[in-house]
Amino acid sequence: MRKPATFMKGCLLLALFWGGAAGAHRVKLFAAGEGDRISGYAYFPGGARAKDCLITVYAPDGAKLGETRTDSKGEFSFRTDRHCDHRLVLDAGDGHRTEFTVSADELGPGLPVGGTDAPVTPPTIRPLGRRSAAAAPSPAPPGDLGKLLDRILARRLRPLEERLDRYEDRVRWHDVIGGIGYILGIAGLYVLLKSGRRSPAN
Amino acid sequence: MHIAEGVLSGPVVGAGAALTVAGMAAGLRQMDMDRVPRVAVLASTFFVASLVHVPAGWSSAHLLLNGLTGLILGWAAFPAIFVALLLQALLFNFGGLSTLGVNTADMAIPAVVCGIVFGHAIHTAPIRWTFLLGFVCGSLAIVLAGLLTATALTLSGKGFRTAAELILAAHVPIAIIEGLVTGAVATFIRRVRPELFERPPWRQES
Repeated sequence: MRKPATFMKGCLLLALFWGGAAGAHRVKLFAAGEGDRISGYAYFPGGARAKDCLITVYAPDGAKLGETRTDSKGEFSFRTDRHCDHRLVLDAGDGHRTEFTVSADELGPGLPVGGTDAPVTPPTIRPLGRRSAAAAPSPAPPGDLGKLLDRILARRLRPLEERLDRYEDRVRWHDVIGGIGYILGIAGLYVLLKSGRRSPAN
Repeated sequence: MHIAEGVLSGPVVGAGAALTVAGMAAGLRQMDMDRVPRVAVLASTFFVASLVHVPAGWSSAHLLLNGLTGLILGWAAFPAIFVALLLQALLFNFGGLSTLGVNTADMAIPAVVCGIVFGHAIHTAPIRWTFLLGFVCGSLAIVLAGLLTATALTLSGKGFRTAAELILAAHVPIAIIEGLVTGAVATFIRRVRPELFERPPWRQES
């Protein structure tokens, strides 16, 4: 089996160089909150956007808040009237499913707090250049300024979050090589165990 | 084709696990020492093939090479595909650990069926038919795997037509590419090492 094995190795190497991108093994969801709006998109890492997929939105207590669908570009956007973590569940219908949680911190402070037992936590912004009273929560800036800061920060941070998200699920080649190593190792271990079991009988 | 965590219902997960355990038992029994390197090479090929992504316009899918795996390994395709899927789930988050049984069965059953049928056919048919038989083996294994995946989703309460349409539409280019790859490899092996092909159990040598 020398020649076919060499051929297979060739195929493997070809696949390694060719397969620069990962395909639709799974679907990913990215979302961010801004004010009372949650928007984002769904995509297959390294591949196409996930079009016309159902996204169901849940509150932390499991209550269903609503549904939305991704458009032809895989994007979605909806307004929320609750200030709580939003768990977004996407089902692509072909066995791919994923979740993404938009934390309550990302949403505007003006929203009513979701869930009856959740404590009201107004966002606290520490004033700059003051070292005293670090432990005491400083009063929130006037509502308008707070909202403005939130909006600006959300807009500035979003590209970074998107990049981080994409970076996270890049298929890394050392993982691929590692995987092949594991397979060869498992095969070796199997042979070792089998031969070990056989030798006392001999 | 890698069904994610949380999509399937409990009974389907259980049935998939049971099928995979049975298939693994059959595969391991056939896997004598001489076959282990072969199984490892094809498990690696299967493991890497899933990273080759083929854009299909409306969706994107990846190679599987389950037909080729079955053609050369027969029942031993079960352990090979199981190990490859386990590592894909652990390293890349493809599929999930709870759905490992269903995913293995979905891809390995077509591999074994096509491998035994077409391995036998390639042995008995004239050599000029080898490419065509290999092509059909590779393509059919993909289509059957898609149908099994759609069935698993249907049994978990999804619409079969939607699932089947989504999966099969995305896998048309894959089926063609895998047909070509399997056909080419089959032609090559038939010429240099014809005994590598899986033979039906009633035609095993030794």
